[in-house]
Amino acid sequence: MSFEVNDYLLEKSKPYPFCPGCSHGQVLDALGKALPMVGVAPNRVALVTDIGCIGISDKHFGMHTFHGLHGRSVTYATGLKLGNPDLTVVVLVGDGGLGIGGHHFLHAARRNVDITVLVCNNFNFGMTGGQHSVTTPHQAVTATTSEGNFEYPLDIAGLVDVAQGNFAARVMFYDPKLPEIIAEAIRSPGFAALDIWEMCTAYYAKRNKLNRTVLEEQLKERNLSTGIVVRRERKGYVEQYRQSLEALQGKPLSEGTPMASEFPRPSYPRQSVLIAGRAGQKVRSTAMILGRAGVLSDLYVTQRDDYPVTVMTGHSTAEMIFQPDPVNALTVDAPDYVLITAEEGRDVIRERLKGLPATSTVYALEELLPLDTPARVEPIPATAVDIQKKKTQIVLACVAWLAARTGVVSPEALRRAAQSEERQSISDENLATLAEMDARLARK
Amino acid sequence: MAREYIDGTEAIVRGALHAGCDFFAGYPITPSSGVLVRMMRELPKIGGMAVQGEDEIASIGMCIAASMAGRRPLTATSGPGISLYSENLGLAIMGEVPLVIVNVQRLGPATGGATTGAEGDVQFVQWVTSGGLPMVVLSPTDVASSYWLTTVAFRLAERLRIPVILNTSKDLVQTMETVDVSAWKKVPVEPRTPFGGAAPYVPYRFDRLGDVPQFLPVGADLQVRFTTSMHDEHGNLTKKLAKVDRTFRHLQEKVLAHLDELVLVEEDRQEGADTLVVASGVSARSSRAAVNMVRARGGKVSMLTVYSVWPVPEAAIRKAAEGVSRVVVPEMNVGLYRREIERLLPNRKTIGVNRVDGEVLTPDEIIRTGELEGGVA
Repeated sequence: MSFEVNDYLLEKSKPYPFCPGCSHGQVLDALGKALPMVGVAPNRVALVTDIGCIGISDKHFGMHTFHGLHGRSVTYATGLKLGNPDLTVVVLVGDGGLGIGGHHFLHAARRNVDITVLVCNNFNFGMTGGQHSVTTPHQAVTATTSEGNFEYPLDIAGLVDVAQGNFAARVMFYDPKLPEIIAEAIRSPGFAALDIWEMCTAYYAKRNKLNRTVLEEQLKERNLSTGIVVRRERKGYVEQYRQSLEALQGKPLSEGTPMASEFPRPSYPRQSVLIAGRAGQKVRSTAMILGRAGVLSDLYVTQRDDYPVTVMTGHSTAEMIFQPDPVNALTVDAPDYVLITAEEGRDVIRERLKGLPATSTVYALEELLPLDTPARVEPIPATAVDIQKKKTQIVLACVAWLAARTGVVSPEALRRAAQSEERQSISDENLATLAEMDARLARK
Repeated sequence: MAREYIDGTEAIVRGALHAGCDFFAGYPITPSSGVLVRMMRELPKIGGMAVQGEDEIASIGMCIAASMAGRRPLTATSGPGISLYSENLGLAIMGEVPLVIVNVQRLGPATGGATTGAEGDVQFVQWVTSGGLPMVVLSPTDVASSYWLTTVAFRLAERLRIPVILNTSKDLVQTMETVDVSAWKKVPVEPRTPFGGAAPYVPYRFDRLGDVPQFLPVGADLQVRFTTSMHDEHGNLTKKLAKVDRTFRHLQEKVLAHLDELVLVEEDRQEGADTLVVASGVSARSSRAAVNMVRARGGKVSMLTVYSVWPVPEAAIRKAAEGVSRVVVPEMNVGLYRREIERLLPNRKTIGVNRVDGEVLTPDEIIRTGELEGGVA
């Protein structure tokens, strides 16, 4: 099936609402001619616009149109393409939108998203009164550069090149080949952009000498040329996504691992435990073992973790509550038991230790004593929990110690919970630690 | 009973997938990154699409456009990210875009405390964008309600063609807890009402102000016009006074006319109680524990848990406060939701229990500061 210009660019919608002499209309006409050359059905094309004079063009088109926020059109184009990969997506944006949305433009080119961006570059902000933009030439006079622009202009096609986009061309609005170049950009897989040099007669041309000769001189001064300046054959984003994630397709969703109440429920009404250690000591994952042991013992458990923004350094704490009924609070004034496995953990709960009642018990590695607390303190000898000199097993060894002393969970439940680790090697290591701790605690 | 030990992040992701979510875009930010990581892993399994955007603005932009292409999107962020979502949230309201946004509150303002919990966004999520139109905001209190309210958020977003914020917090998404998955509540999510008439499709047509326009995706056989600018029913820019007024009032009425579907509270009234505790989010958990403790000691106290924090469930709050003279509002902020309670209940004594250091309120703290023992008959 073949299509005509009027299927895309609605003749009845004209005239365009642009200023006398403005070149935007010529670009829209060229886009209208390009689309039948590509041959894609109008209802499979989406035209995305944002703010600026060129942004009010959508009403002239018979395809799907999406009009959004200033500079964000490339993000919408990406969302439309990923949402429906069968769509052909074309963006019409000005140099203002290109500037504020530069980050999106750069990354769409880098990702090689299969969209075509037509930058209608008239070197200043037309709609808001002729302020300078990211493409305003050096020394040009605008509403905001009355003594001449001392900023340097951005080269749009060059940006596509450094970002590794597939296609970029630089073209004058009056180039008779403009429709063909637009069609080629749309046909090109992956990211494509056109830097279309234009004339703003309302503002830019009033303050600066501007005609075709001037535009071509500027091109030469900046050592640039017209025509296709970037052409690559990288795969587009949609194809890459499909290929790289094909292996996941059809796999079942992660739905969690239900646990049965395999062990008798301890008789206490509630116990709370605060583990305070160091990041990298496996505080969180060990607390999860303790938590699962609680679930396996028909208990409701909560585990609230805290750590700083740093990774593998600083404190790591886990506050846990175990009770037979669903738990509400995540924290209590005074934990029944505190387990301290590192200096960092001890220091971060310093104030809390001071406020503990005498009924609480603190289990701490003996090297971390003395502690400033009214609570009962029970040291854990380093030799008792030093399992094969492995620092990553010390918290688990201490948790086994704590469980044996307090009965918060049984050794059997702890062993069972340690087995459900995803990796066999970790599971084996944990079980070895717990077996060793069982033997040591039995000897005591 | 199928018990699991999971965190709120997993509950949100499972809720989203069970609600038919098939598109995600987000940017890494603590403490919401878990949602991004899980969605990137899960969505390809069902043929969905998940993208890590170059920033938050791109992420929500992609979600909005994917929604208009017919997808059911989710995004997740925190503090600085929800601030960047602001302009596009306005676009989602104006363009009538179904979209679910998870906001994981952390201590603000600005970068604040990335791994520090807070409930400081509770007013911000309502007034998050320009224009002054109502936002729908749901706030879970635990892992189970994180799942349930995620499905509710999708239902409301799709049905009313609006952005819906699930306003959770660090201590809810990262806290592990025992859950009984078989008892989880969820609501069905119906597809948007499709356009069924003859061409042309008029994308923003509605009869009564509160009606939701029929939907066709960008890419349908008939032309679809989407716009974020003030528009007429055709999606064309307009400055005609009557049309501007009608569109604006429609955007407001679309939410306000459906308040009956939006009110989600749990009232636990105790006869003879003189004090009511009103709470949401993680503070509602501590409040619930405090109420249980007071009652176990023979005291009397009523409680109202607010899940639908915006629009404020005014009638439910007034009803819950009948017969009490004191209202206690525990929050991990300077008293942000308390001002809504004070506005609604000017003749009650209102007491805030507030922490802004990142620590979750303890039940004892709520009893002490709220003087809940004073409610003993």
